[in-house]
Amino acid sequence: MSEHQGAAVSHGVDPARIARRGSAAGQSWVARLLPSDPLGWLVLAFIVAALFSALIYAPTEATMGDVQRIFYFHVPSAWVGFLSFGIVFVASIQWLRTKRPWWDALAASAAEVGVMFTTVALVTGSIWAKPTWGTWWDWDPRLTTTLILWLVYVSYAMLRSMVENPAKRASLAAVVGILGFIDVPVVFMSIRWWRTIHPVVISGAGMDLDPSMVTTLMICLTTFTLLQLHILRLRLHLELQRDDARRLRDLILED
Amino acid sequence: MGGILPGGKIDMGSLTYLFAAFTVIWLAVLLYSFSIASRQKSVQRELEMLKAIVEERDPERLGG
Repeated sequence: MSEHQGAAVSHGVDPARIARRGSAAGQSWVARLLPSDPLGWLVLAFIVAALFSALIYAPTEATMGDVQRIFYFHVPSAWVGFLSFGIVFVASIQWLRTKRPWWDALAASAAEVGVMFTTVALVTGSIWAKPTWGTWWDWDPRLTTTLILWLVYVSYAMLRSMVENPAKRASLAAVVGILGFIDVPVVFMSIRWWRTIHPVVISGAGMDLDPSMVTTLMICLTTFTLLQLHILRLRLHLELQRDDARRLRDLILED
Repeated sequence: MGGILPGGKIDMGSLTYLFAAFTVIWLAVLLYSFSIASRQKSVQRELEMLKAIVEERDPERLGG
């Protein structure tokens, strides 16, 4: 092992791995958006199926009309938001236990993806609320707890951008990531614990929906779960590359 | 898709909200994907530059 390789290993840097990871640098960013793996193509196929189911296959709801179709993408957006924050929770615990940078990179990536999908859930909910409730926003328990959840993870991202030291940043963010997750079951249970105007679709008696609506919802939930996994994978790759760049920078400055 | 009111009229109000919601969803996904791709391109450019510096100092190092 050369002197340089020894230094690289002591800093957790494998220069050969970094060289391989950077091999797609010549590709344009538009080319990189196109599916390059089976998961990407699967996501694309599911998006087509979800759009067909939500816009054509599912019957028009008798009271709300076509506005109800927003539900097929609003609920999955909220679901993958919760799922992402669940990943932040697990990854944060794993970081505190093992101090492996991969877990911190996963937590940071999942938090950003979660904020994106929760933003979509909040905005689409608001668009649905206007024709249905007659207002864009109501301080209803479900809406309020979801907004708090969104603010917690926006704060998480801001905290990460403010702390320079990587280990300190990861540990502080992990604490926020773990504590912030407490709000997820509160959001889910809010429509059961408090009086609310938010619709209750899934109750103790199952789903109060037409079978074709349930099928459509399941297709859309699967689509968004696959989409979230695909985006999370891309975002994690970016975070790991940032870590590589930081370690290489440190190594060059030390030499 | 329904969108037809009694009398054969199209329920444009309902469809406008539906269109707005779908635009928000897919625009958000697309813009976020673009943002990841553009950030990745910039990090890869930086990685290439850093690798070139390391290679210049020790050519065997990045050879695997």
